[in-house]
Amino acid sequence: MAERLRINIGDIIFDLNLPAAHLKTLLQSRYEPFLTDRAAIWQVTLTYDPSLKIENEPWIHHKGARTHFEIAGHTGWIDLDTREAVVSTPSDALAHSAVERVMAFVCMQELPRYHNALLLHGAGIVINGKGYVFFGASGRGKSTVSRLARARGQVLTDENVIIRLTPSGAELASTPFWGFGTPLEDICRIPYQQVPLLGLYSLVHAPDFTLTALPPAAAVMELLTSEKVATERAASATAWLAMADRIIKEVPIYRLGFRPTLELWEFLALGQERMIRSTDDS
Amino acid sequence: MTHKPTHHPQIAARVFSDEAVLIDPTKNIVRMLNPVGSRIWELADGTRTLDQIAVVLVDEFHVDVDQATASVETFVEELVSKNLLTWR
Repeated sequence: MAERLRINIGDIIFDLNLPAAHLKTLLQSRYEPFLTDRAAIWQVTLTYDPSLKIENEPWIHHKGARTHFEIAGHTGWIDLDTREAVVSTPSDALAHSAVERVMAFVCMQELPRYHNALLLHGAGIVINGKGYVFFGASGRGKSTVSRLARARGQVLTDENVIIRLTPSGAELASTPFWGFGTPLEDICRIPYQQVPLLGLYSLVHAPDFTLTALPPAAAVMELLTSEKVATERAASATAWLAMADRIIKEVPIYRLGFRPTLELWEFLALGQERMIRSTDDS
Repeated sequence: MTHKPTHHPQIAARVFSDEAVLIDPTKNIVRMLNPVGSRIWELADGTRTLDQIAVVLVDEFHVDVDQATASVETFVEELVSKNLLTWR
């Protein structure tokens, strides 16, 4: 008998159809803050295929509304019209990775179109009631900044964050897609956190702290360095660009040169204040 | 030349302030255009010839017509060769 689990990520409800009861127990624990009773929008079926190999050459192709793929030991398809997906895993250990690949892809496609939101490859952090998003490709410092934030505030996610625009401003949300760089107990997984978002920060390791406000197109280019999935289809890329345009009109985007010390938070508070003052002066 | 350049249907693009960001999903390439290139991109919507685009640039950027025409031809040909623009 199929086992089911319903998950809410950024108001997209996934009904996971699992091949075994022990997998349900495993994933239930992993996704506990995101479980919901709300009606599902997406049906995602997980199956076993022990022949899959992580080292297989990855591929992805799109035909109409359907995307077929094999990546990192998972293969399957995702249909954006019928809102169904099937994904296979070679083992229990990779089951979460299989369903998260599908759910992240769906979030990339649907958040900008239907939910006034974007999924960004970034760390979402709340300090003194203010939200910060730090983004950049792997190795740019998201986990480092998350580690520095532990003593000062909440780490909503160290890897993938949802930014949603509401009539009262931008808000942050956790996702169940986290990295390996931050212990899970240090991540405060809250489905939505309504805090004023102070800015988006493109991370660059540097000998000293610097903060540079980015003009709109340059800001979008920075975001795109780590958002490849969003750009795989022309229609998706168009929706992504439109949503990014709305977000950068609400939230400033900076390039942040930083060194890994706790002075980061003081610098950000002061640096941002100076920037706001200089904008007011001009 | 009476052909009219237009955006390739496989390209996603948006102009932010006065700079365009273009995404080619088939090649996974992202490109940002400068303000003049972005204006040419906006004007290349399938309704204008190269000469008509050049006339607009002369007016908006205060350049002479020969310079504008040469710039438009070179730039459009480059974008066509990259499958970012196509001819209508």
